[in-house]
Amino acid sequence: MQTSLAVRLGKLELKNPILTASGTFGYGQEFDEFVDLNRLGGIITKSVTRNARIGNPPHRIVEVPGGLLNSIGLANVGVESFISDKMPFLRTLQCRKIVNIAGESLEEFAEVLTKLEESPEGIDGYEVNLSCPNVEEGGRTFGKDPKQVFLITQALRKITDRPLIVKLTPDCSDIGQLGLAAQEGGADILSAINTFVGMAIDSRKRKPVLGTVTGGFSGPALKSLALAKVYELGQTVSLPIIGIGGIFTLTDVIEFLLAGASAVQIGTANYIEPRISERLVDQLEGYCQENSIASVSELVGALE
Amino acid sequence: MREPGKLLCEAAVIDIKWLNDSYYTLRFHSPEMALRSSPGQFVNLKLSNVKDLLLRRPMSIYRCGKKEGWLEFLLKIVGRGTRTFSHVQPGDEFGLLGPLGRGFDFDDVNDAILVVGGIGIAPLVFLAEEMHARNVNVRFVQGFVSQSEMCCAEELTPFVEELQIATDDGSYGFHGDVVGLLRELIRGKADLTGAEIFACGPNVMMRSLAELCVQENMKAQFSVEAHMACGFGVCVGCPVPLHNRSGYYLACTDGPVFRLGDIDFAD
Repeated sequence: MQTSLAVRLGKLELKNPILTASGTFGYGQEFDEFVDLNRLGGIITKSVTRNARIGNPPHRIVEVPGGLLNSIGLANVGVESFISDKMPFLRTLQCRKIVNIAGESLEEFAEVLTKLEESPEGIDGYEVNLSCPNVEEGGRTFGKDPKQVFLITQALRKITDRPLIVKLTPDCSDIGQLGLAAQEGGADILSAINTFVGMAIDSRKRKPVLGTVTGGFSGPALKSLALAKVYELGQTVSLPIIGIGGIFTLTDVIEFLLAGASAVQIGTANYIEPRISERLVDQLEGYCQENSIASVSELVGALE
Repeated sequence: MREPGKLLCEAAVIDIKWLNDSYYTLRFHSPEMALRSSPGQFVNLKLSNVKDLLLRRPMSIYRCGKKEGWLEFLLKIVGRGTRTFSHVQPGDEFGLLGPLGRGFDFDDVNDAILVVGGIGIAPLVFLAEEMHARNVNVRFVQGFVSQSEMCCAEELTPFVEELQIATDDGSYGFHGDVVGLLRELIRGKADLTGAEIFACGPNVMMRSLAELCVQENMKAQFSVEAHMACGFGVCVGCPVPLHNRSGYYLACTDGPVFRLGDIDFAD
């Protein structure tokens, strides 16, 4: 039977609900030899900041039970190089291109967004990284405080009419309050969750493994925690939600949809199986056909 | 279909061989990967159907049978991944992603001294073989903790003019570290200080070797090791400090082989 994978998240329409998570998919081009990028619902770029950032000192990555810790520190080319060097390739793609923006202050977020808005076409929306655990100033502090989330969202809303996604941290006492703050600030969509703060210790050396002591925890162990946050947000806000956290299989995707996510992002899995995003599109289509699901959106929030 | 630079494939183990208590080799049947591989590059390995190892493990290419279609890795048990891999049997399937990274450049090299510490030998046996095939004079200097760790002498013999061994505990060969041995070997020998150094080993060895190369005005290339999640430049998790510490290269795409003077060996 004919089945539709298309989903609508407010004013953002996706041909399917499979997106790639910021920081795990470069600027898209890195995966061009593995994946037919046009088959994806969309790509969310690595975080873009005002200036290029060299990132944190080594070690930046360590595998731990159930996942991995990273301390990249938003290493990126900066907004101007992003526009001149990365956008030309992204513009050739037919999938949705969502630019993730980050900053250490409200002013930096606003400046990055303003520069991107001045660049012509090829951008289908923005994801605001209010929750990077690896930057001292900014992200982490903003992300936990509903008032700051509201103020930044409101400021950015004034700069763009394109879909604005606010990415929320799970390291908070009440994610519903953060979601409501973003909603009141004018966000179109929420994405949840970013990484949890975690730590690994080398007991032999009596030292932290990561150069920055703590880092962001991602991977399979995140799934059940993320499902709970997505579900909680779904009960609290009226905005559409994009679910993120430990998604490796078709079953994981379906669980997030049922929990209330209208789309999902594939993160850590891209590192291990570079073709996984496209494979999940295929598998989701097969699943809908086999189960006579006319539209995948029927699954969204369909928890019984 | 685009022409891929890297292969992402499954391959079966065809042989596993123990070289000592902790070193072993895994040989795979993977003709296409073998054809594309050059010395100093690496492959990211994942044991199919094993769930408790999340990330692929980056492994230098140790030997390569381009005609016969096999690829071999030399591993040392150091952690969970290398221990799990040591239990595989012929026929077990791995996922292979590679060849990755930029290998050694020896196009204009006539005389080479290959210097390794411990498991750092892994990428340099392939290099010795390829250099020998292109008529480069190869001298090989190995360092091990002790005699019980020694390996690969038999494999190297056909490719090298000279093979010297140092052990930290003096149980075999030169008593001391491999850089100390190299210093002895090149002292006052103009033909040797004109050779280019190719090295892989622990950071402490590489740092002291880099100092010696600067003193003796020798060219050198180093293969570095780093934690990484992806192996193809996306996770940005494998920074190698620039020589002036103003930023970082990535071990996976800028390296893993770097020239003397380009990088700073992190503490």
